[in-house]
Amino acid sequence: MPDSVTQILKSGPVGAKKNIAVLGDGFAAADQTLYNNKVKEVLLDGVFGHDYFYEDMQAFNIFRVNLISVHSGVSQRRYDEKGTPSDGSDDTIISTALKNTALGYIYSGSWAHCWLEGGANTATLVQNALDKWVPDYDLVLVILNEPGFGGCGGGGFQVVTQGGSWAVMAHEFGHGAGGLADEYCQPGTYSGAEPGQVNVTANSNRATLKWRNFVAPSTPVPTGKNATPGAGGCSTYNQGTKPAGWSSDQDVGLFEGGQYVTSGKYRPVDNCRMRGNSPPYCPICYTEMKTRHHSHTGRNFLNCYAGDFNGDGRDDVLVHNSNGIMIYRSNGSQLDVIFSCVERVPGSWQFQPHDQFYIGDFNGDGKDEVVVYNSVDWVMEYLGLLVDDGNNGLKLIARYDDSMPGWQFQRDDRFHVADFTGGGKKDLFVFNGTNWSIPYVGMLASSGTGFNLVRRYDGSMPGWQMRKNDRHYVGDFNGDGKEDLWVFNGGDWSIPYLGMLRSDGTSLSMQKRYDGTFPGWQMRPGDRHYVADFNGDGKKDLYVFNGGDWSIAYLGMLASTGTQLSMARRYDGNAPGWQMRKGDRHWVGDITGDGKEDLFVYNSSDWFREYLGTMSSSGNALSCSWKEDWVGEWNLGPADRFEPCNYEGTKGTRDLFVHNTNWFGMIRAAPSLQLQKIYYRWIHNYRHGRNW
Amino acid sequence: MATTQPPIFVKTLRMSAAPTAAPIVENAKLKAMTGQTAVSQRIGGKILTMSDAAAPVQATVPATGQTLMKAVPPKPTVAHALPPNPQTGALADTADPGPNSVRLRLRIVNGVASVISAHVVPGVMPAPERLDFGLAYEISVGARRVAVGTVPDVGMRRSYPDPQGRAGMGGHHLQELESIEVNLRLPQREFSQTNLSKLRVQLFRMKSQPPAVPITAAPLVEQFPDHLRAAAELRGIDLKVLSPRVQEAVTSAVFRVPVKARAPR
Repeated sequence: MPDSVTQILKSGPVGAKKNIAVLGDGFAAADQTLYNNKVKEVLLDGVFGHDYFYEDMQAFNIFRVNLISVHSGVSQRRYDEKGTPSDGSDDTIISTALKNTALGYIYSGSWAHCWLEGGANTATLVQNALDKWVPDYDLVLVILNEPGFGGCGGGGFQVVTQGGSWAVMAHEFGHGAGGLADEYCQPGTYSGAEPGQVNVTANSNRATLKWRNFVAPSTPVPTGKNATPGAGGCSTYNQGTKPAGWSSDQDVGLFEGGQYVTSGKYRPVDNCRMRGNSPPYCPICYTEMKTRHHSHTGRNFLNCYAGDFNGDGRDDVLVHNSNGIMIYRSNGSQLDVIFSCVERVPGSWQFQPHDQFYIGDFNGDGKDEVVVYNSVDWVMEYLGLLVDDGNNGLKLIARYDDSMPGWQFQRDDRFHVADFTGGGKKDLFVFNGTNWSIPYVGMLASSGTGFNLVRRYDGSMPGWQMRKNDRHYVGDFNGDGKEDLWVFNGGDWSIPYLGMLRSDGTSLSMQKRYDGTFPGWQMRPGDRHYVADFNGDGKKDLYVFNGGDWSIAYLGMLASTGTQLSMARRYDGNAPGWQMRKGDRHWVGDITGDGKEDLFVYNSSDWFREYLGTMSSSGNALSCSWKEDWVGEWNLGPADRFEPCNYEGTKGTRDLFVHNTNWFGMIRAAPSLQLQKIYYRWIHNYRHGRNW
Repeated sequence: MATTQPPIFVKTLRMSAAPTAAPIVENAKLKAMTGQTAVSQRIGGKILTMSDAAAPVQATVPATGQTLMKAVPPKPTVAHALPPNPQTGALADTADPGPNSVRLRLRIVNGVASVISAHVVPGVMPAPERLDFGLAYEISVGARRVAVGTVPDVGMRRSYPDPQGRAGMGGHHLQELESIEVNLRLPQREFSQTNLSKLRVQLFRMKSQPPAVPITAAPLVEQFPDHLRAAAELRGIDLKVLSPRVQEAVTSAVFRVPVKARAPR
């Protein structure tokens, strides 16, 4: 069996990521499965299955190198420790039993000798293996086929036995990847200068403390003080009464003892991973790890999708970046990481930069699923259905490669999520107007486990000649429970058209077509439509806005009778409380939760400052309010994107996720627009303070 | 269509919250909506209108050369599919991977740095936003900086703590190393034959944590004078003094201008 390398975590180009090389020593050919399982257990399921590394796995590549040793197990050395196992200076070698292994490591089991040591050629053998298999390594993990406990780290290397735990490895990666200091305490007093590492300090002045931003004003500084300087162990919370609910690893203060002394140096929390191994990183260490590796993750907040992925009535958010996704769960007022995935989900779907995501309850289980489509990054188009994997994540249960019976996917296919069968499961309308000689519309019904084409329209639908610039909207305009199709074309004909096509579950029929005008509205190419039940009668109505084709902007409210539209109200230039401009952008929501769908409105281009507003429907009229320039701490800007949602779990859709490259915010619109949460570069809820 | 107030022309002011605020005239040359009759335009000089019936469609040949989709199968087909194979044929796999980097490995003994290997690796590391704590390095060609970074964990060897927590062994056993080895990275295009002799690698230990400010174009030691202290330096790479193995590694990593295929005359 020859030596080999397998990349077991693929986050991206090695030049842009932190690369971890894993080598094995003392694993003969017959031991390779044992080695592979150990790597999975301690590194993938252990270190990268928990807290920080789980979150940021997209910053790392992992390469498992399978080196075949002649002998099974590693060389052994025994020391005479002279009864002082913590002092290696007087030790002598009793015996050395060498084995022929790939890297020549020797296990001693002696703490003072780093538990293990290299043989005469180990450095060269390791370097040769790295140069050959993982030349761009940043961190190295060497696993020895040795059951005894031990591990030796430093210089970005960790050499461990099979007895090592993932938690200790995660601690060691804190050194190797984060430059973090140990927070262990040993008797002694420090009297030197300020240490350089972020997580230890000699400074006990709250005003200048380097992690002062994370210390709550009510927390005493110091928080833990050593009553017997130079002796004892790490101080815990002993300056006053520890508040109820105080977290020993997430509440920040100033605790005496750390970096090998018990006095004179302080650590941020009682028990961080850099002290106790098992706890997660404290806010200071976590922030340092995040800051150092954020650019390696390649993440931003540009592609965010709201959906209730666990069916608790509150919308969560899925964030897509390149070949990874993350799902953050809402508890009503904040978001927390619940799923982090790089490269692929079981099934398998491999994420790519141009994946398009469509969120909806496609199987009627009360939770949202994800349809993902990619027509750019592969030699063929792919459509996948991702569902809850039962563990807060996603798995693929259906995938269509290039085509499905009756529909051949193409680059410009456009999907619309709609339950056109009325069966309680969201289906898909799909339109392609440009990649074929004629336009096509397909009706893909969801079975809960996949999609079937129930009807295809080639070039025309009843009463409608399809053209390449047709724009489609969905909504049940007749209240029969089956979502219908609306189609508008403003530029391919001499006059604009809008058609209302009724779904009977398996086909469409023209309910009403408007040629050039609605009642009280002259249609123009620049009309923008928002399907919404603004009067709460169970039938979807239509907001229509035109900001650029007339001398002033217009907004119409066209109510559906089930068979046609009637003008409920038209606003010419000004909706009460909102001066309409050509750059207004709208999103549908139910801000007041009264079942009458309203509009969010945003303008970042036509005024001296940006405006975010709400247009609340009374059924036949609107009343508006807005915030100028800032919503709380959110500085509105032209790059902002908005996702109407219900992260609070209240009635209606009164919330917004707002996001741009580096910022993510949670805005609630009732009773008035206010920012509930703001995150910078990553989503994390600090107990006190924040990362900017 | 009557409006509550006569329109006014406003460029960039603040929005009024008054329910009866005057409309903003976006373009005075355009008309106001009447809501009465359709506004038509000529398409290619003709008036084109949609027919009421589902008329035959005028097929056009798109740029992709595709024509018509295959007919829908006559019998309904259950399209539940989970192909056994993963997606294949990622276009990114065949695309130009872009510029490369050189991973330069140095050994540092008593303040003297020497090259012990060099490797070309694909991709370019994102430029650091700040100078992290650790061993900082700055690589320049003449007066021009070509790379900067930090190696977080150098110069120390640590044993894992004793699992039984025996006296004195509850933490790490620390051993300071006399010789350290570090990987540095620089763009391969800067690692050219002509640049080898001009490459200057400066390594700095840190007295304290540098402020979290963006790294400017100024030399590191000028930007962080209170935090950095020179630790080692390498001035130029002289192939002649390298061992044959290292010489070969460095030579193979040297940047060469790609030769483009030229069309025959």
